[in-house]
Amino acid sequence: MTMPFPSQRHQVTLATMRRASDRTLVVTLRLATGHSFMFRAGQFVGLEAADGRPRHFSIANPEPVGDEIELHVNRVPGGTFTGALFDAAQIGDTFWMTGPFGDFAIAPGAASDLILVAGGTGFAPIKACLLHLASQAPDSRRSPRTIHLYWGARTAADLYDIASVHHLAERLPNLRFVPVLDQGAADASARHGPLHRAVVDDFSDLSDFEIYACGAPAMIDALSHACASECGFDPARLVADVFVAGTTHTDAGRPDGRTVDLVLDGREGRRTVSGVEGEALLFALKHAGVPLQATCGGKGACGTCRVRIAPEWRDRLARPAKREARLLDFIGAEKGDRLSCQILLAANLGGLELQTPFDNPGEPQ
Amino acid sequence: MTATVLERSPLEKVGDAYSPDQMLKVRSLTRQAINEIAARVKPGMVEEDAVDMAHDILAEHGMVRGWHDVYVRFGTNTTKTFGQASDPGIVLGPDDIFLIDIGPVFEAWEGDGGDTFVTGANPEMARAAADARQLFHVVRKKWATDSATGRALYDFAVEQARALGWELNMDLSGHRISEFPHEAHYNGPLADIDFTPTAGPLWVLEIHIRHPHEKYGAFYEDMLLADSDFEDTSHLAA
Repeated sequence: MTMPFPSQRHQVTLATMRRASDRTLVVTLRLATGHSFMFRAGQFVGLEAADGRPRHFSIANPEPVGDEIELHVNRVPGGTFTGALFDAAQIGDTFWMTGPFGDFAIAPGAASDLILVAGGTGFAPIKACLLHLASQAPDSRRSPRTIHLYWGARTAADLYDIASVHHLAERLPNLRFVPVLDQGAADASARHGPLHRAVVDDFSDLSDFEIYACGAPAMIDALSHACASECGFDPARLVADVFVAGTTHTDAGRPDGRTVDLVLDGREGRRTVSGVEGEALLFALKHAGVPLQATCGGKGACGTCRVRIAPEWRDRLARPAKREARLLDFIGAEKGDRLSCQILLAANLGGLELQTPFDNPGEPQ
Repeated sequence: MTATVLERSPLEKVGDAYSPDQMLKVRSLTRQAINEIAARVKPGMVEEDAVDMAHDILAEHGMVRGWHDVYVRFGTNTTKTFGQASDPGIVLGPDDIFLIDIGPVFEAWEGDGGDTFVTGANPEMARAAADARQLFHVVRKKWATDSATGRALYDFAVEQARALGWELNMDLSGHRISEFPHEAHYNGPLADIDFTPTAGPLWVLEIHIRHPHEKYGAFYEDMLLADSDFEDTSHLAA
């Protein structure tokens, strides 16, 4: 039986740092105490940023544990923590790290073929799990089940650790690798289009499969729905490690969509900031440094991410759903007030004008 | 006799609005809501519908706002950790397990609680639900009798869970609670503190256990309080 390792707070030192692509750093960290860090393949850790809040990253190497852990860090546009790592971090810098956390793992002894789906730096926990699998007894590696690995990125250059895939393929003869790119011209070296389409195009019947997926929520949702509706996949057999921007898993999980400009009219005057298509307005504002509280982490539960939409923009937004409308009413919201966590940025919202934050009497902001 | 004034850790700070009596009142409302939600969850329900129903029940009791989201998790989703998205479309079976985790705000004060229920006669699922509750009390009694630190409590909880054949999810390892929002005082886990948490409605103890091989788990959560604030638990020896 595999037991969890208690999460603790550790001081760690930046041991190595490699720019694996324009957008991705591969870093290794070592405990300042010199001890080994105990974790399981597929788990993640939190690194404390200057604002005291952790940014979470999956560990890309498996147990058994050496002195160092490997993290894959995606640069988030406007992200203060990842920006500092890319631009200012030096070997020997120290951080506070908490963890290990999480239960993502490939179930031992699964009878069916496996499908692994990684979006961007979602490759990190999958790499750890595959390395773990490769380290198991040869009999289990030679299991007749096939492992189908789909790794999606914008361009071939963003498949930043392709050497590890080739290395894994040498150790796992049943590994089938499918790179999926959503930019650039189609060619024989990779599939092109949405990551989930590559999976459903390859299988007419997924009723007997397990799928393990790591990446942004939109990718995981699209994958689950497409596989269930088109290929008879049972969603209960999806094991997902969802990267949520800025709050839970990693700020590497910010969507890769087009920029959406937002015009803020706040205490500091009027300014324009950038969001990304597909992310919630809340996270775009937080990335821009707007001090919204968002106690519940953007789940639409607490009402502390309230913004006021400019009159000419109100009708262009989808109307509040039942829960949002009820909470807005409960906290005494005024006309035009919305919960920023419930507004998904889209291309038609470019130039959206709003006030934030403003004083809500009796309510923390 | 020398009187000793014990200074509270800054992590136990409270605001002007904090009121132990009101915290206990919210606790009572929270437990009532959990039981009411559980009574209305039936086999054949889709998890998303149960979450909607739970929101409606909380709203009926004046708890529209939550400091965290409402979780009703069915079957395989009971292994998910706090904040993790559920796999969509899970339908509760006739011989299944589900958990509830709510963090409502009533007026100015935070509640937090969780529990696990089964729909059939699966003995292992029933044992998971019962063990989560038992572990909560065993760990709580360790705090009450040994003045254990937060870190020691969860070291103990890991051992106790292991002895019962479960994995303890340390992502859910206790936290502060207070007037809303407690994160203004301390937003870290109870398992990280190296002092004995103060008695009184300040801390929450969470126990989330998972089967080592099967895809289900169980959860129990309540405030860290003395025996007198619970029904008779004398049968739950540490």
